[in-house]
Amino acid sequence: MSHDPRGDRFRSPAILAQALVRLPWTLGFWSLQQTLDLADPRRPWRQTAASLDELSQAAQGSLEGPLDNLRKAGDQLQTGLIDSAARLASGSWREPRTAIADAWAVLGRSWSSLADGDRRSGR
Amino acid sequence: MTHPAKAPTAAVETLLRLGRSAARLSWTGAFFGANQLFALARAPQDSITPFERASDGFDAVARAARRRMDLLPQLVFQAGDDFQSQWLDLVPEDLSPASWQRFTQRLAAAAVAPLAILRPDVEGTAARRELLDKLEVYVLVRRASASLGPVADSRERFEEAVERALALGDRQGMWMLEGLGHGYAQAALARQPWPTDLLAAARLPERAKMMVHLGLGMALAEHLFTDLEPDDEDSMELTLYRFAVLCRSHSQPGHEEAARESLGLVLRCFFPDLVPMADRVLSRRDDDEGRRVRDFFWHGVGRAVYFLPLHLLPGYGNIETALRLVEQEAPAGAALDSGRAGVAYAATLVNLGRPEVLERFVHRRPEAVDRAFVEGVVSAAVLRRRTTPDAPELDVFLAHRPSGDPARWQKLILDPVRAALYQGARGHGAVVRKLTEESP
Repeated sequence: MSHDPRGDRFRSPAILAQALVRLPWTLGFWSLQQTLDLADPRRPWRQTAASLDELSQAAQGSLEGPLDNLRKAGDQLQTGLIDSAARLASGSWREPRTAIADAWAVLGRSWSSLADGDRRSGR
Repeated sequence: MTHPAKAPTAAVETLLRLGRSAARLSWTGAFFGANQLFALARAPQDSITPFERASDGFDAVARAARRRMDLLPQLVFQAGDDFQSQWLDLVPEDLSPASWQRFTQRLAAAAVAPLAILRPDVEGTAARRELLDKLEVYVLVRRASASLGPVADSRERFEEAVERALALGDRQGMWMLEGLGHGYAQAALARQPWPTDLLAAARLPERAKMMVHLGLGMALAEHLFTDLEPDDEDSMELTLYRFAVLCRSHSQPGHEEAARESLGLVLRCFFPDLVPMADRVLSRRDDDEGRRVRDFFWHGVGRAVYFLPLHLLPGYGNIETALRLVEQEAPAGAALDSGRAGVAYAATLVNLGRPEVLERFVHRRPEAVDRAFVEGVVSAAVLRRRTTPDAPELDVFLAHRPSGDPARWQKLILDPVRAALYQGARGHGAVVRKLTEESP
């Protein structure tokens, strides 16, 4: 909406004010919708997960450079931690060696994500 | 000794996915906030100001959030969003005393206007009736969709429901026809993304066709335009083309344009960010066909503006508010005329049985009753005569004797309507004629 054909009047802080007011208003309804979806047995939870991912992707759209690389690395790290916690809870790790190998793999993925991003951005 | 790793069950896997997604969102949210601050601090680039850059980011997230909402939360959201926008639009652009004086005057007028609904006189009665009639239209269209039952895409059930709605013979039946067209097409599109011959081979009485096709167009537009971004003109062009092709292939001969008219209604109601881009793309085609499609588009936008969820708030839903919004949004010229005709068309269809609503508007704003506005009024009357010829509302409208200035009502409204209905005057009711008779 930034290049509004209505003219220069709208190329002003007013559009930012409008966007700033709109975002919390939208997110309130969005949260309500997700809560209803989670409570509704006819709707699978993966639909809510997809919805959360869509919002993340929209937020990622405006990120670039080192900030985005850092985000990716952190995302890899916390996804790995969640998966590791699940394996620990399910008893898949009975041997310390497996646990250590998994932890290294998580850290490695996170680090390579950061390094790849830096390489691509020419640092 | 090794232990085979246990594969997580489907339920655990879903829970894990939800956990990952939630964690990702909160993590990304922090970076998004930081990025927005940087965007504001950076210098303008490629004629995009920091304010625009930051608001684009916020709007992208808001759009993504809106996509997953059900109809009811979306309508409430849209009402609130339009409400906020209206107040923000009042804020002056500079700090000069003159603009602040204008601002306070506009603010006072905007704050007092909704109170008209509480007045005990004829103005208040008309405002209350208009609101109730509009609410009834919402309920009827929704109820018609639901009345198709669990097998909503069964053609036999749909045809029977259309017959039943027509048999009602009144305004309820007319609005139900639109809801039935919408519900039937929506159910078929949900079952398979590219169904064939939605209405093209249906057995439909002639009287029902236009309203049912308006409903078809709504369902097709909702289906196609959901995931479009407001700066992707190539995708918009392609989607507009697809929309035109689908309207043609699913409609009965001569009614494709009626389905296409609903595009403006759907975009303005549910995807308002896309309206300026759709207009830009439609304006590229500078021939008769292109101009006609653009006119229909803005006619649909005008119709949408009158039915916006915002206008269901008591005191907001009058013809003046709708016209003001169209005048803000539509480019001057043919688009604005079509938008104004769309407002008048919707307002007349809703209030035909209560002519005092239109009469009060003519009394307050006679200068706004121009050729475009009258065109909308006449089109609505022609449509009612075709769809529900035995309904009493049109006769009530034609027999109405205004309390204020009968000569003005006669000249501005009644004479053109009678000319179109009884003398078949060319140039009147052109929208309905084009929508139903002149389809290429």
